[in-house]
Amino acid sequence: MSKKSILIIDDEPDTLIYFSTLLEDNGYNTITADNGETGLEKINESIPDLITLDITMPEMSGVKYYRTIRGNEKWKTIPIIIITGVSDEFQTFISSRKQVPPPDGYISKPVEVSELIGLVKKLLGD
Amino acid sequence: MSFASIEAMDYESLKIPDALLFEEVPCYISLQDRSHSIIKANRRFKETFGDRLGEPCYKVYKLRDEKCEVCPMDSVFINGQIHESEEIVFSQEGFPINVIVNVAPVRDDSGNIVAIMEMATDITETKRLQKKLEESSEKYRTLYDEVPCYISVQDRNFRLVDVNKQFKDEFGGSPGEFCYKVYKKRDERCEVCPVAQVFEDGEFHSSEEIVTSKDGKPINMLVYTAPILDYNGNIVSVMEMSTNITNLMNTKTQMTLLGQLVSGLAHTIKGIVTGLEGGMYVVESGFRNSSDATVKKGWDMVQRNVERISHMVLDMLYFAKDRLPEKEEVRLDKFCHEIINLYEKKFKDNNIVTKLDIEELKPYLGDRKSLYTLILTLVENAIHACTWDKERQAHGIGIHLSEMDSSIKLEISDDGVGIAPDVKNKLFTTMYSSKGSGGSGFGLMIVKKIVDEHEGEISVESEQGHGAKFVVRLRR
Repeated sequence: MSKKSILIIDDEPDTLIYFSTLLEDNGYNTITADNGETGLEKINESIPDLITLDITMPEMSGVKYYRTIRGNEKWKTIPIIIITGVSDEFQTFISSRKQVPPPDGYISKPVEVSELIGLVKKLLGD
Repeated sequence: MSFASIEAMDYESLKIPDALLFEEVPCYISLQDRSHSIIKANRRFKETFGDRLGEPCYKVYKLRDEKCEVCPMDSVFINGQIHESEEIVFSQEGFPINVIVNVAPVRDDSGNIVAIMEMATDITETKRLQKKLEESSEKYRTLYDEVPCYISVQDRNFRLVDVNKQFKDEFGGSPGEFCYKVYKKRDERCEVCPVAQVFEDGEFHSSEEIVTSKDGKPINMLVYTAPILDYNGNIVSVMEMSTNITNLMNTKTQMTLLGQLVSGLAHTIKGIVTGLEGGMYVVESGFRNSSDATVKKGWDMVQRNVERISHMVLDMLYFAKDRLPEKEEVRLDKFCHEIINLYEKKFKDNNIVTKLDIEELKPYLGDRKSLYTLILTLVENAIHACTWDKERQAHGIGIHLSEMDSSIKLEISDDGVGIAPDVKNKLFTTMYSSKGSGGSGFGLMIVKKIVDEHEGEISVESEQGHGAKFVVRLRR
């Protein structure tokens, strides 16, 4: 059975290395993007099975990216886990998500490894 | 004397004995001859000054051995007119008594002035109350003028009726001028006027206003207005009492910025902790999978984030410390060249072309370490802005240093990602950095602090996607 793929979007290079190593160790393929625009390019190339998404990013914020994905017919069912260190940003996100369904998961940085892996497995039915 | 009834009394024919009047009228009456000797006195006079007929008046109630220098009696003997004056006399116990003295001539049948009648009314209590009133007024005036707030009284036409000293010193303004002209610098009434509200409902009101001093300085005020009533309870004017809360507002802003700073710090620290935890995980993963490359990758992450937190702590300490610049003569042009050399490899590795326009300047008196840090930080930021920008493969950074009229201008520009408008407004007051850049987020705040310590100015021009230009001006 081919491995499921996870798109990791975060503007912190070390976070990308961390999450990709962690998820690969747990049997997933990973694709990384350091901003929302690159994230869109990657998703166009190949639709992932799940996305982890940071909120505070330059150029295209996580909120905007989230709304773009949820507004697209092809991508709107991809599970998305928000991973962020800024609770205010998340509150803004929650209040701005009119007519947009909530994320499939929300994890606060610094992440608890078991929490992240547990949520990923649950959303992917593993 | 008796009367059948009040109605039956014939007031016209009523004869009141002169003796009764003379003795019982509530004032001091005496008659003096030309030698100032008292020849007759009424009961009240005798009770207060003693029965001292034949003695000179100045001895009896002025306690003097000789005539008063300005004697009202002499004037009457000369011109025959009634005189009035205010005097202080002394009772037989020596107590001073304030009196209003009326002196009139007493004539014989031939019309010659044979004596002087002196009638003195005791106004001691009146004087005492008058003095008390004056002291009270003075106290009130002092309080009114010296109280540390601005007080004005306006009439129904919004003209100033009275202002205290504080008000006058700060705003100018005189009674009769329109209040809105004096401290709002308006030609017409304010749309929402706290004074008008009081005239309408007779209640106390409070509000926050921004007014303008006579020097054109805006001042934040907390304003209280209250009605002033007449004896019938009608509102005749409104008192406006204002307190300067500009400093309080600034403190509020500072606290808000501090809150934002702390929030920014927390966010950055979370990122660093994630990096450290991530590094440790990757190292462990490398050991588990026997991959040296993975172990090295993880260890590099740990080192990077330790360095980040170390920089951040040093920057925080630098920022938090109040320090006076240690001034010495420094060559800003040499600093620019040194920093360019320092980053030569980084420019090359990131395809950044530098455009230099650096004048040779005379030494500038400033803090060596701070000024070096200032230039270094701005150049570093320019490099990051270029490396973030994925739109272009090649970028340019400009460094300009010049002087005109003792004003030094340092400009550092780039054609990188630029700065969003909402970020630009708080660039020097909140943490701002690209994550993973190794920056602490304090860079520009420190730059601003250094500029302020040298009494300079810093500004930024930028449009998102079109680079940025930082301009620092320093005066000699």
